[in-house]
Amino acid sequence: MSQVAELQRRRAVLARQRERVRELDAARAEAARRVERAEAALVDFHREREREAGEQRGE
Amino acid sequence: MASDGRPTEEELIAELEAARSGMVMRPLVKVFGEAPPEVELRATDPVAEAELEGAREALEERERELREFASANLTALVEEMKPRAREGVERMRAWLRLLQESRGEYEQMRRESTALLNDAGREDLLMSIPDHPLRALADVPRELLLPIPGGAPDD
Repeated sequence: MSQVAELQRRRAVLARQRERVRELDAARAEAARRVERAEAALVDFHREREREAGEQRGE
Repeated sequence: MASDGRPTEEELIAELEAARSGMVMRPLVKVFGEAPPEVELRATDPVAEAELEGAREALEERERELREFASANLTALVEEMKPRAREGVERMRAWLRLLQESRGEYEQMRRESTALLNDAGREDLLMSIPDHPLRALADVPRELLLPIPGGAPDD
């Protein structure tokens, strides 16, 4: 293999590894966002229930 | 799903548990200027964290390997690239020479055509002489023009 071909092969390996890091980072961020969304949805649910209970009590 | 279409509390809890599956809560310290730091718990997947950390280390290793390879083989790489680079430069020079010659031919043709129309008293046809082909470049956005290494003189 020529030296230039070897250089290009190494660049391609590097690019794939960069893409792998980017994907893993994105997956990690998405998992964290999913938790945040689920937490927020539950908090909203409880707030809404309290608000509805308050309305029923005539507050 | 509740009758009003909204998710029930059980469903929301189940979604939260599913989202947190495999995750651990880790403290995250947030610092805002002079204010005392705030600590909040953040769900973290240790497996995904370890995988990402490993991938980043591997990336650094590949970067180091590439740098070392390019540095150690620089002379051989340059020698290997030289013929193709020279060929490219020569081809561009040939195109520029051709362009210069063609421009000269165009200008000669324009002078002759103008003189002919003047001789014939048909100045009304002067506008029918084709524009200088390079005038088309005036309509091309600057960023699409060929980049000039080192920047254009007015840069």
